[in-house]
Amino acid sequence: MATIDIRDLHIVYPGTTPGQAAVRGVDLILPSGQLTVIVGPSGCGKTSLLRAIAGFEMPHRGEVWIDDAKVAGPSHWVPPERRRVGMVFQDGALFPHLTVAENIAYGLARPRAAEAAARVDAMLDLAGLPRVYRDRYPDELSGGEQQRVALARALAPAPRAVLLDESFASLDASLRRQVRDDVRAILARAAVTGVLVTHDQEEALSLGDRVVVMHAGRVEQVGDPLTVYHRPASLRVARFLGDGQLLACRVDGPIARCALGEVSCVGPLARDGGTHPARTDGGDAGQMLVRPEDMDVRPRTHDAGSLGRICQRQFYGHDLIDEIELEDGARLAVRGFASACFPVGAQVKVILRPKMFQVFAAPARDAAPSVQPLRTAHV
Amino acid sequence: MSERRAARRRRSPRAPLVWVIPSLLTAVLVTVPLIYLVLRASENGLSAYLDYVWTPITALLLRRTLLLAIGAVLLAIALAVPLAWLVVRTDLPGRRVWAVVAALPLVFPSYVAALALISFAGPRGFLHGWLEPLTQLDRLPPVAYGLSGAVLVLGWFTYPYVYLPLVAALRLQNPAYEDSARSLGASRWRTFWTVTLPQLRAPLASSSLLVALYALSDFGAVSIVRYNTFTLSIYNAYRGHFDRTIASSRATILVLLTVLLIALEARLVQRLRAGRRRPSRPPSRVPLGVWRVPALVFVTTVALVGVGMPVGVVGFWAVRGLLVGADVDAAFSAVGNSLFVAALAAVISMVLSLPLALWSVRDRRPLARLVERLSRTGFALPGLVIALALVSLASRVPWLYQTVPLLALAYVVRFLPEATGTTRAALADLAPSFEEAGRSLGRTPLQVLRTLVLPLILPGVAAGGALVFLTSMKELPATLLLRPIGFETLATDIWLYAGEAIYARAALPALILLLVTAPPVYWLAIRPVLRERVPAADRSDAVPPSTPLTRADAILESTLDGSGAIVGDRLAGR
Repeated sequence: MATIDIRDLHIVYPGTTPGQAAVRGVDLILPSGQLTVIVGPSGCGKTSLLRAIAGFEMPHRGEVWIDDAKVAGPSHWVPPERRRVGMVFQDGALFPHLTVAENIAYGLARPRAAEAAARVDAMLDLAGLPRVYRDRYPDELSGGEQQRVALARALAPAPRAVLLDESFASLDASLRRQVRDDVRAILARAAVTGVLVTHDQEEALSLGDRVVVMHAGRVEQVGDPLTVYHRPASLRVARFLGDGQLLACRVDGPIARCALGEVSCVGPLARDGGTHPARTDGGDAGQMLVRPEDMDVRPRTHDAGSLGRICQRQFYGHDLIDEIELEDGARLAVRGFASACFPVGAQVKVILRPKMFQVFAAPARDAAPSVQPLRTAHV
Repeated sequence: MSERRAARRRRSPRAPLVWVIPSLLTAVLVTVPLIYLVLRASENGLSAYLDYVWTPITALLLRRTLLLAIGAVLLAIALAVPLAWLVVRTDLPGRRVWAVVAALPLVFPSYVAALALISFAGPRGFLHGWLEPLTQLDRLPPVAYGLSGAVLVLGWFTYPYVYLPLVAALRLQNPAYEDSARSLGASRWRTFWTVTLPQLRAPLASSSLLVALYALSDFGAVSIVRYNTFTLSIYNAYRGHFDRTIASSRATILVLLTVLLIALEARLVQRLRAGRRRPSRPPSRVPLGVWRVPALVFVTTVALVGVGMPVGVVGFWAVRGLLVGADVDAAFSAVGNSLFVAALAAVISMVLSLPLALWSVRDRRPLARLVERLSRTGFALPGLVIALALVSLASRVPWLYQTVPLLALAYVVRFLPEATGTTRAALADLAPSFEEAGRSLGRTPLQVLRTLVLPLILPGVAAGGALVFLTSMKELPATLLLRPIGFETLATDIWLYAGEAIYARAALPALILLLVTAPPVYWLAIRPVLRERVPAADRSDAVPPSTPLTRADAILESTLDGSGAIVGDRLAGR
């Protein structure tokens, strides 16, 4: 187990200018024994960051420390083979001419010794693979099994950390979830510092102890999954991690008022609760992040909420998204459940579920619409 | 997208000198003949050079050489396009067998094909004997000689260079394009001309240029059918008056032509290359209906001329020769000589190709690219030109002149691109993540090279060595000029006897040469292309490191690239 410390890291690829750097000044501490997920759209620099930790990219500026040892920095370079950092590649990169056992033993000090065989068995057990797989070749395994062997191989030399580079991206959806859960369990059992890079926000939120959101070579936010989802530090993070909408609101102290009512809020505009007198101007203009599941639908006779009409529905099986048109023409995306939904076309009332809402300052120009849809930045 | 672009830019921090230095030496070695040739031709100044070159004879040679190249290309296309389409896209009966048979003319060196043609269709050949009762002609018109003979030989025996890439391209073509065209209301005929064929432009253009290159540099066939082109005239100038300045000057023009062709090919391919995507299912087949009869007549005719005729003629004369007591001992000593020099060249080429490939595949900096390009100089140089330069050079170095090592060196200069090509392809097939995985598991670069890279690329290196061996076995012009006195190989035996029309003595070495070289040609050049099958469905749960499809792609790619046109090129020894 080891803590990885990244200080003011810059990565510039040959043939590009520092202005086009892939990584631009990242400071990050990846705590010992935790699984940190680095997430961001294609080209945000997350893979470059990972490869700098592994030793496949030389930083242009900045330092990488593993525990108390500097592994990369100005005029200082530890080659990958001396970093004791395991890596699991997107395609697994199992050596096709070696058996499963030979693959796993490859990184051991003496791959042919008796201890090595025992270690291979231990790793197969850890990875939940039957020991009869020892003598199989990689092309005889399914994609999920290959990824498990790749992980076992990376863990075999007892590395200080394991880096996973989009390790589930090449698996199909149903298998991906399964392998993902297994990998999380294996990493927890091995009690090793883990770093996973992905562009899949669902993967990031469901897998990480901590989530690092990157954009354009910089870190946008670091936090646990709940925080980054519900309290995104920026609109960009809010947009990248999920759907929803921004509702125009007036922020007065800890209270935000919007078309759907009055709620508690946090964020740059909100001030502490307490005894402020209500402001006569109604408060600062802001935008409030409302995820589809932050709202609920009630019969039109309900005494709170705003009246609207269900004009469209996307049905997903386990849940659904209703598009509801309010009386002023604004449209809201509201998550609901098939077991308790109104028919399309019905007049309903939309209410906000009680929670702390995140507010952002309204854009400088005054023409912000009352409801602005927030679409996931698809990658 | 930008992620992928970034991935291409990534590379290891520095290029190890253990690869750089041998690569630089190799590049120098293989460019020496070209440099010497230019120096030799220009030693008396530009005006003297122009005096030699700017003559009516040059214009005549140019016209004849270009006529031959154009004729051969047209004939090759006319044969290859229908053949490829018939075996891939129709229900032609026995199409799997025809697919192989149609590629077989690749097996015959041009001088063997020419020998077969003049013996079969010459004025008093077999054909004359068969037709005499009908026509009462004393002799047939000399179509087997001159331009018509040369075009016939070079077109009919090089069309596989067009056919094989077309087969691969047709197989990889996404059927969705044709289906879309049909569903938009286009007829089958219109779909073929507007959708299918345009997608074949890149392989068609580059392989046609390859045939043209082949025709330009051929010496074996034109010398036997007596069609005077650049190569033949260079040879005669050298042999006849030992006038090396005339020979060198003409050789520079020939090299200029070949370099132009290669440059043209590189440009065309770059412009025409379309984004190829893995097709999800194999292409559909057109039912031929009543057209299957003319289709079968066509493929049978092509096979009879391209395979039946040379096999029949060589077999007939070989048996005849043995019956009247051919010199079997001489043939065996020629076999030994051929095998020995070819093996020597193959081993040297494999060894030299390793550092070159290791350096140039991963390092995309200008120096690495330049050296890699220089190492392919031999590809642009006709064998005769290399030989001419080496003869002149070695005549100043008596201990090297007319020795076996010098002959092997000529083969290496000529065929090194084949070895480097397959080694590079094998390395490029290897995802960088393999090496990175090895490094992250605690192994040094050298250990990774020994335990991972070398075992994995060994088949590619060996295939390269086999190609060099094969092409060296068949090489004619350099062997003729550089062999030690009294050192006959199969190729020189065949050519010398064929030139004197002593078919019975030429046939035995020819038969042996075919028996030795046909299996490797099949395994290295024909089978890899024809065996590739498009997977029925995408198995997305498995991540095979190298699917057959990507290998077919690599072969196609290398043919397109001209990065040697490695697999096919010069299998038949011009």
